[in-house]
Amino acid sequence: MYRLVTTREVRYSDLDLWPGRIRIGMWAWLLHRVTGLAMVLYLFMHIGVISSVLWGTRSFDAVMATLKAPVFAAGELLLIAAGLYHGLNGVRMILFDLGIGVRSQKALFWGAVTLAAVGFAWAAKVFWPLIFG
Amino acid sequence: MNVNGARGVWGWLLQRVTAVGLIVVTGIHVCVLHFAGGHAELTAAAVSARLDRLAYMLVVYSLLAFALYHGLYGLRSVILDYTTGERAVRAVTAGLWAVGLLAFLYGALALVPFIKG
Repeated sequence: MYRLVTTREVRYSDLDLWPGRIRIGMWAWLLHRVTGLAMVLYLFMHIGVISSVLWGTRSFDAVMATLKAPVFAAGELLLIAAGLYHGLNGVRMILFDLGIGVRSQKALFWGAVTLAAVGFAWAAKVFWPLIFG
Repeated sequence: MNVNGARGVWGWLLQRVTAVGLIVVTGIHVCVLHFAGGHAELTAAAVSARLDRLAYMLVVYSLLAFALYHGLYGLRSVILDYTTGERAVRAVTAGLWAVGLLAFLYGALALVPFIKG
């Protein structure tokens, strides 16, 4: 018989986390979580950067000039990639909430990944001059 | 364990509502900055000019509110996966509400010089 267990009862040494044995649904969940946490971190950094205007418009302009560096443009492109995956997988999750497509969850995952990849390719083309000059 | 009762359902529902809202307002924000005929100028004067339009101001304030609620509710879900005990769950929830409200006030305040400018 199955029994509900709490997180504390699971011994992590019992979990099989070899990537090849993790199923698609788990990958979808893991990527959603990692991209979500990355974007929460970015959100607080973004608020911090924008708030530099509280020390004057010159201060804001100086910060923004620094953020024009290619490394930050590349970071922004990665942020767009994270946002595309998180948003599209989020739509997949909302569809499941509405009882739509649960049986096609694998196909919907690959659909979300494909759309995110297409969006990323477009964004990479737009950001290319900022990163590589 | 259910420490939220009916309130938990509202929290979850708002998570979904802000998700849809974020797709719209983040989409507009990113398009305005990067995909509407080139990259937008990122100086205080240029940001002020963009925020002169009431519609864009609404987009930016909505983005701040939606992103903070959605992000911190998501963070709460992650933390609760490693948290047991009713008191701990309540403390995490209260702490994240405090962080979210302070960050919203600070972020909203940071936009005022652009709007005045």
